[in-house]
Amino acid sequence: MTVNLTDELHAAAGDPPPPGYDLDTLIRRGRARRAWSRVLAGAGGVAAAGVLVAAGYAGLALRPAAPAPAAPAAPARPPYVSLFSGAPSRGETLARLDAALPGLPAGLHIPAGARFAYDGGVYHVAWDYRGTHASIGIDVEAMPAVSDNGCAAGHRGDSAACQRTRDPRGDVYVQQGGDPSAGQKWTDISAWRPDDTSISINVLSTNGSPLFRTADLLVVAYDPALSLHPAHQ
Amino acid sequence: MDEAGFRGYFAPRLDPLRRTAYLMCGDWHTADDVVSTVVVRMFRDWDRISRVENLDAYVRRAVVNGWLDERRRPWRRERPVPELPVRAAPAAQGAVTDRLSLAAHLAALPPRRRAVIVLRYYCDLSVEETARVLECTEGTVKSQTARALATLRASMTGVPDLVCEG
Repeated sequence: MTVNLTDELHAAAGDPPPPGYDLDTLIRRGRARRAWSRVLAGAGGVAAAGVLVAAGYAGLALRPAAPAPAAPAAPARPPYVSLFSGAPSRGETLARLDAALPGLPAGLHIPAGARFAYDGGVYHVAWDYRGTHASIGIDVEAMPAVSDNGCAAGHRGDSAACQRTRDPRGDVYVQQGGDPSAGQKWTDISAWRPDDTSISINVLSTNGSPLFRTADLLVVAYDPALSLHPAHQ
Repeated sequence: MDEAGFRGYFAPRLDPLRRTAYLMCGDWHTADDVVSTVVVRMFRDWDRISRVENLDAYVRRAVVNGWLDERRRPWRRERPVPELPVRAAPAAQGAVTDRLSLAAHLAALPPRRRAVIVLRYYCDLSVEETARVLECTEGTVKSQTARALATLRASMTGVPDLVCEG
């Protein structure tokens, strides 16, 4: 007797509970979000206009009686660097991330030959050291809202210790746990940074070997050399 | 905005998208979260999105990425384990048990391999289409598929031979 995977997948998804929404509900939410985006865009425009008007008044008030000698025009500078314009190629990013590896703390025991790989949106590198398996994943992700607290009650899906630190360097979670009876312990660090770079560090020990120091892992989480948008720093 | 076009596109696809998301997420609540978030976002940008060349692939990609984003949240993060759990699932236990069992075996796969299996064997996408949805090479799809099937075969101890067409 054999099992056909396609049939089994259809069977596995074949008896869904009723959804908590329908298309009309989603369209209503979409309309609301659209309207809110317009309000925000409008508010931004009004704020910008206000700044211009204020600047104009300030200019009038400070204008000297006699015309000042014409200064050479300063080169125009964009107000901000787009995340997408002039973005480095994937190969360039991989090379830059690889070049940052030797600068990470020696206590992490990253082997000299370790290299980042790119797979579906995530740059990742993994290595083993005396029974400890470690990996770093880097991808593009905006910072969560301050109120979006993953350590809050109801969010922690297990008995892991969870600590959140939010400061100008980013929103960083340190979670630790394991199964002592199985000699297993782990540390996870998740960092969302203002440069829209998200770094995930996972360390797992399966034979009782010590995990790397959290302080060393946090160096990785905050390391500017691991940014996917270095122009933003 | 072409709201009728939006409705006409999503009305027949909402349920299949939800089932696809379920097979990847492993639970219906998360699947609902992912699909509703994607659909609302699509509504907001429908004027632009409706002109995308391969809309089905675009929407599937949005669902896969929505799920990957969701699971990267600290409270959703999955724990790495040294070995996939082996779960005995004798066929004699009945259809419902088998369904739950397959979902459990799928859930034990790494996320992208899970996505490959769902896209290829549930959505019936070709290697090329799957690569387009996952934004990776066809070689990656093939290798991920082979590894995922090997893992499924190994983990489904007690289940009769797994046959995969395509």
